[in-house]
Amino acid sequence: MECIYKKPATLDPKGKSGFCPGCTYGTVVKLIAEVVEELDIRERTMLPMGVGCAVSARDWVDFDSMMSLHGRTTASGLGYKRVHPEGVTIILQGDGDAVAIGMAESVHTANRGEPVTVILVNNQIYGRTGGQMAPTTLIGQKSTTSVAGKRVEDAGYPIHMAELIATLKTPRFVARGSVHNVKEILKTKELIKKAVRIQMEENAYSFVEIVTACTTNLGIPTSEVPSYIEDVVLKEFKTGVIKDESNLN
Amino acid sequence: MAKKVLMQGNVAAAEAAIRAGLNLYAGYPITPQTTLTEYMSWRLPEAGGQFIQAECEPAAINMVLGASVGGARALTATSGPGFSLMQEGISAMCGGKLPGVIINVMRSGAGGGSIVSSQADYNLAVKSAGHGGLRSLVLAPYSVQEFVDMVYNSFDLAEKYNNPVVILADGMIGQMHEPVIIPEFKTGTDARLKARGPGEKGRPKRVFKDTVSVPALVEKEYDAACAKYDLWQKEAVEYEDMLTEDAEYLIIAFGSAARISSGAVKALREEGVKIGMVRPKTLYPFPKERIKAIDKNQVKAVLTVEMARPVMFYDDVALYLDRDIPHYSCTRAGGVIITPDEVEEAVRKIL
Repeated sequence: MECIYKKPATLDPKGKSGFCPGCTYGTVVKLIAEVVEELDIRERTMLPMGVGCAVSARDWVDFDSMMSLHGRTTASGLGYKRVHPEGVTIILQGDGDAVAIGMAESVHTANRGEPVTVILVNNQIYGRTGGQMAPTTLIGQKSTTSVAGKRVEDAGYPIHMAELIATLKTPRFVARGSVHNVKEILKTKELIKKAVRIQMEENAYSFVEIVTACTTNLGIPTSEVPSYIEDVVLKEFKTGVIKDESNLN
Repeated sequence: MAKKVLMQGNVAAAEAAIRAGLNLYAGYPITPQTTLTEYMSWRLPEAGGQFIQAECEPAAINMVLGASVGGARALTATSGPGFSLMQEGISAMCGGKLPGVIINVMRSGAGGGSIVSSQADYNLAVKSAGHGGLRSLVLAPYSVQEFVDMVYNSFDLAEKYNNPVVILADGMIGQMHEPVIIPEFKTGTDARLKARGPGEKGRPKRVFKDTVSVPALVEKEYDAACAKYDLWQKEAVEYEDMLTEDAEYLIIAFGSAARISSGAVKALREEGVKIGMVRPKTLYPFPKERIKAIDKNQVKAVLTVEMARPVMFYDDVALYLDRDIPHYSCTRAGGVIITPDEVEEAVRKIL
């Protein structure tokens, strides 16, 4: 019988996903692992992970990874890349890490055109610490630090990181995907793959934001999360390629 | 024989780091460190290394951290406020057992403070590497030549102990020009870098963690760290004795304060005062056995000289000094540089 689907060999068979049941963060990690396998770069890949849910990938992937301090994931990741230019550095960050505490590092890493690939997982909340408001939290969304719903007067509007990064001249590729259904998962995988190829083949910076939602802290049944993403979150954070100046197909 | 050249401390230290096999420098401009970063910006790429002008000090120390995960020889340099900002990264490097070198060209004052030399970062450098209570190995140069030599050897030291090394210089040492001998380029410094790169097909994955999360395991990490610090106390302590053999009075000081005090020692000796100086070169490990060995039957009084108020270095000396020996303090603070005359005057008061 023909094998049409299997777990990538770049996921550690002894390792396990540390993500909550129903969370699609694991899907993002699996897509990264698939891309690493398909591009045959297991030994060249380094996965710096930001503080937050991202570190749950640590014991799961079967290639190099490093923990980072909160917000400094791009800084430590590019430090590694600078001394191993033949390596492939895929930086996995949450929105607290990349958009709040690490905004300066995010912007300057992109602006210098460091040849790394940033995968920003936007779940609109601080998941790991139990559901506090993030810079990406939607207006009106309840969190443990915006119990009556986020208000513009208090916290401003959600920050659209992909669009913000795309305003810089240097980044070669900026896109946003989602993993709430099979079609979007397949599209997002192609975005990740292209972003990584741009790092490898054009020695350039690339950025992919991926929309998920925190099933544990959102306060709605997990089964309703995909339609919540489709009907609510993606109205705010639109998917697609925002900027592509690469020469790749 | 190597020729002496006249160089500024910061510039000479930068060249020494490059000759020690530096792979990456990340820094942010701050007086009185800036000339080091300026020199690095063109000289390190010329020598084949990576220079990054970081967006802030936390970014700089984390670039160093990442490069060190990759086995590189990595350096950052800063001053007071920047050193505060780097504490979290230094803590993570201690936790992750990562080598790396941090130069603090100390300035004075709290907050923004002022750009003039002081020794007020002593406790910050020596007592705990940021949060968590682990330690950096801390060296304190008292001349441009010693600054050069310490930087040149610091990477070997950091790699030997898998630990960050802090070089606690100050504005005077960094900005002063002195004749120095710049050592030759080291060779064979990239074994660690090569071992931590992509490597051969099918090799096991490498996972860098700056901490583990189970308390019982974290406690084991602390025990291992304590054993390492005990080892430093046995084999890494360095200090210099100046005219101590027959000394009835002792000055104890480090860095610039020791340099300034050496003038007072010479002047008083010319008058026949039996005075000497003990000068720690390693602040952590602290030369506690040397301080304990000060004999109350020979030494009538000890004067600790430092540019910090309230005292910091004095407290560490007091911890190990025989309590029967009167212990005095001579300080200036806030960027006011102590003078040899003031030190001399302080000695006269205790004669």
